[in-house]
Amino acid sequence: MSMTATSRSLNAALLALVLSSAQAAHAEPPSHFAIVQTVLDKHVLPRFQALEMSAAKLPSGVNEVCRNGDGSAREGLVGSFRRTVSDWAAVEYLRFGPLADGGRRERFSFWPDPRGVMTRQLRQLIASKDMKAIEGGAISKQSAAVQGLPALEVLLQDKDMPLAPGDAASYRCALAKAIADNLSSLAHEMNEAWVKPDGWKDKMLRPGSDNDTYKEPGEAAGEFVKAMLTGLQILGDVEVKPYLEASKDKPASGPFMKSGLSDVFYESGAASIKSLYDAIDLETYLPDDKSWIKHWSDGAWRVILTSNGSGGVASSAANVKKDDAPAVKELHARIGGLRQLVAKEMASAAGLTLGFNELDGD
Amino acid sequence: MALPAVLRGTAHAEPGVTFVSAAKRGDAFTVLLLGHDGSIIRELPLAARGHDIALHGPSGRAVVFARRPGTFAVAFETVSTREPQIFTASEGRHFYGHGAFSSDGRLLYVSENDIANAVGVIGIYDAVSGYQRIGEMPSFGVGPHEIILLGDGKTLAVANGGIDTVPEAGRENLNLDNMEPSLVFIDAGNGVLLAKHTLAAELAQLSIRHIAPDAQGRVWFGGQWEGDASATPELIGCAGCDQGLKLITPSNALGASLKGYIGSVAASVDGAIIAASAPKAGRVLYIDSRSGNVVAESTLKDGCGIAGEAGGTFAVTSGLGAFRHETPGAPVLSETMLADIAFDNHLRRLI
Repeated sequence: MSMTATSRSLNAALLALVLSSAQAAHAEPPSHFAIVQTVLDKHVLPRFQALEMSAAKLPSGVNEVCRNGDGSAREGLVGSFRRTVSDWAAVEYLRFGPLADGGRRERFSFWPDPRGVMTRQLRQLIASKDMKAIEGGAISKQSAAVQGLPALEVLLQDKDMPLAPGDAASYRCALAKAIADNLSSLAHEMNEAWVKPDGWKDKMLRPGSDNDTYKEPGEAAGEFVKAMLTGLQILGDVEVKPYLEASKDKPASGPFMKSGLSDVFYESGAASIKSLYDAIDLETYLPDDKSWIKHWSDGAWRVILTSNGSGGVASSAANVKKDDAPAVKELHARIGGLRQLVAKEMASAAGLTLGFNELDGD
Repeated sequence: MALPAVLRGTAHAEPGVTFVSAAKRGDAFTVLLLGHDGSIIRELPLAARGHDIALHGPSGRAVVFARRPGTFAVAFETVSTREPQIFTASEGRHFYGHGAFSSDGRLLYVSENDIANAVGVIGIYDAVSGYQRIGEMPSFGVGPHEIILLGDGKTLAVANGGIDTVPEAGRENLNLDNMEPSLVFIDAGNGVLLAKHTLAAELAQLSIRHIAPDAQGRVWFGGQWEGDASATPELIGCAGCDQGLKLITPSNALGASLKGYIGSVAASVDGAIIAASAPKAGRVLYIDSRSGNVVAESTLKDGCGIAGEAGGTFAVTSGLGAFRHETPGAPVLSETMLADIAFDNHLRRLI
């Protein structure tokens, strides 16, 4: 039987597909050094750069609202705040180096805050009308609780005393501007700490005996695996779990609820962790007999990225019907399961085993 | 006032049982009773991750605590297989993973959080009558972690880590910008504060967590640094009831190379050597308690649990399932790997 031109080209295409699949299945896993380089270039640095850019728009946004107070100025500031919250969620689980130094994480966003420290201290600061506490960068020396996004959120969302021109809101405006300036400075400091010569990028790319943090590439790559596990833990235990335990008497509280941005925070964080997962690419280390892990992980990510973190559908999953939103219980279980698989199976397969106590001792 | 060394962690046991440790077996949490060679003689399943174990020698009583911010504890006996007894933290309290028995074994002191007020308390439980909670006293700080009864049988040493947590926020540390760790000495009989030692302001982010007594009656501690990595101080030090906190002063700074975290501290049987494990760095340091000099060190990936034993040796466990005996400054005496076992922070030895 002679083959037609169409069937020949179809067979050729199928063969190419099979070959490329076979090649993909046996793709050479990246070296630990390559993991670090990829994660830095494709994941970490662009996100800190994005945060610096979004936070830089907050001061002028506050100025605009306090100068003329019109709807479009307010809309602009709310939009900048939303963008900054989203960009913050994309990095806040990278809790080492630039984010940890100088207490920047707590200062940028004092959350979770189950004791209501921010509300209490912000109220005291506003009542004091103490300009010396906030002028010329003095806010950065105040309690972390009043320096960051949650404090700015309160000022932005206060319907009784909104930010506006005039004497009545003048201290609030000065405070909001001080916080916005502080956020912009912190975001700049973090970005700079990554990229400056001998900064954290260099530190992670140049492990060795003279490096006080990373002696070998595996330690730097392990840092990113640890960050990913931290991210999943925060997602599961701090963001999603409260919705599992919520009751009529005690509703769940999430980050940036006053602004209605809890779902933005969850979705941006989840998408960022998935991006890190892809950049680290641990799946390529799995042996053939562990291919079930890839399938299980695909399913888990589908659930995580389809959810808004509280039983609804993610804004990025517009094609999913509301009734098909993943249940909070399933979401929590999937996040926990994925964390287990990454920690036990994938990290080990990649030679990046993180010890039980090393990862989360006490 | 010099205080005699403690006899903590000594207990009669069923034949063969020498060590106790919380652990993870596969995906399940458990307490392991181990032979001298690390073989598992008995185990007790736990509902969630355990942390440390309080032991009382003469009675064979033992209690494993849920780790921070858990709320359960499981009492069991090392001398019999009597059914374990579970008790929980009272309303508004959670455990920090550590506790200590009174010298007669009738009372159990437990480090707890008064959640609403964000202050540490020492819960007091009646070990004879079903571990009923019969009272509490202040820990004189935030976030009490390890607690030990000193050898005089009257004085409790408490490491107030200074870190605030609440169960609803999981293991999130809530006050890293406002920490005030301390090492306190308390009269166990009446709760009177005998001494409270705090660190200098620049060291306020050094959470004092794990403690052990030496032969001179001082208490050695290991800390967890929550400040800038580049500013990591020494993590190990000591204090006495009437002697302030003092960090070790090695010729080459050690804090950063230990990755800012000491997971466990233990004394040799004679109290002459203090061992401190740094699981993030995979190192165990041995310190001459008299001079404060680091005299030896060993490496063990994720090594954390340590217990002094006869003959100047130490047993060391790891989160990857290693169980070894070693003498400071000498080659490892023996090492075995337990399949599918991850040992938790603390290892306790029975006699």
